[in-house]
Amino acid sequence: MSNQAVAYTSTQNAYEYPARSEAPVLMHHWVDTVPVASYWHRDAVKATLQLAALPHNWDTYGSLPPTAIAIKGAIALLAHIAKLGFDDLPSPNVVPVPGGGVQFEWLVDTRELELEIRPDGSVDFLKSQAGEPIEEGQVSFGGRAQLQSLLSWLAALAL
Amino acid sequence: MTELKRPLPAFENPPVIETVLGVQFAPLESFTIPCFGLYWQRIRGRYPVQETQPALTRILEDFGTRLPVRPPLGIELVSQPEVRCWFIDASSTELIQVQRDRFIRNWRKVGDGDIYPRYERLKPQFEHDWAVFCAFLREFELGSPEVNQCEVTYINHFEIGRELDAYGEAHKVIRLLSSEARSEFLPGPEIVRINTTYMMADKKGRLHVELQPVIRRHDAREMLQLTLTARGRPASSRPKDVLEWFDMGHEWIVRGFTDLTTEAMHRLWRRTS
Repeated sequence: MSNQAVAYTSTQNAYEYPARSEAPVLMHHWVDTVPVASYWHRDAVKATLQLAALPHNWDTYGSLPPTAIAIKGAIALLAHIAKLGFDDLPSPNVVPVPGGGVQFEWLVDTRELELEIRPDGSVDFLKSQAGEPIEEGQVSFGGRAQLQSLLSWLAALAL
Repeated sequence: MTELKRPLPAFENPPVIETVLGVQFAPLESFTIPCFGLYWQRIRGRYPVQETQPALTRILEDFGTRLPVRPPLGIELVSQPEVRCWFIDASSTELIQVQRDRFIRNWRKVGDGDIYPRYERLKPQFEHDWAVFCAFLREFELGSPEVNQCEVTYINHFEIGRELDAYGEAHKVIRLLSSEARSEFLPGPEIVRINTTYMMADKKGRLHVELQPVIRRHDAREMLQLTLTARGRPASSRPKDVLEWFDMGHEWIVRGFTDLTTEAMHRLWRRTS
């Protein structure tokens, strides 16, 4: 076993958002585009990409713009969420985070969900009810069930 | 069916933004990680930038009872990790992709001033780079590629604000979605996606057509992306047969693109034949 490596025939670093019934595939294309799943997804992707153009000191406190890793992670997270089938989700508020992160904020009635993509690409979540935090933690990219649970809680009142 | 005697349609200003010519072959077992660096030394003058990417999965057009499928997600123990190396030219418009079972050459449009170089230039460029790669393999006794698949891909962008005004207006570009085919009840579509597959003549391959809404990363512009991929097995691994397959794949893509798109767009792109 010492001379062997483990190879994955597909990876988490999917370069294309697939149709819902398909596994992620890697493409040999070079052109860099993001497939659009729905209009809320489109709006969120555009807002995220536009954050990359923020200048240094965008918040007047010396903050750097979101890192390339945070932008890429945010786009990938949106693809994961879109793949879960929440077509009627309201489009999130997309904001930069001082230090180089990106944050998605959803507010549905009294429920608020924040997903923060840190400069290193890791993701934290915060659930709030009527302005009071009720749960927080880290989101793993392999945690499809975790994302499903968070968004189902949010969407329960949006339906 | 293909009509080799009729000249291929041509456009003065086609919406193509990327082309791909590639071959897949039986894995070269002796092509280990250091070989990527040795090969890069051969081409570094022309392709000075290198990147490492995850490897592509193998795919073969199957002419049995089912459409081609990719291997399912899985885990396997291997003697070395599979990688794909990118070798990029100084203008960042030309790319060679290499892995143990693939050799791919891409051209892409980067700026508005970049003009599609035409297949008549892309084909000999592939032929030259492929010959250099094969000579490298011979010199280091790494094996001779047994080509089992050729692929030609053309990617086109229809921009919101140029060819159409919204994702749902694909009928302005795609003939089979023309407004005459609409029903009396349904409103205009919100989003249109198309996936079709055509069998090429004599089962020499398949033409895959995909239309999907996308956003371009570097400027967040919205567009419809039309990808045509011709894929199939050449008569042999000899360069002559690989290039002949490319010619056929290219013809299917050009004639297919012309059939699929509307006359109004042909005028916009200035069809010349």
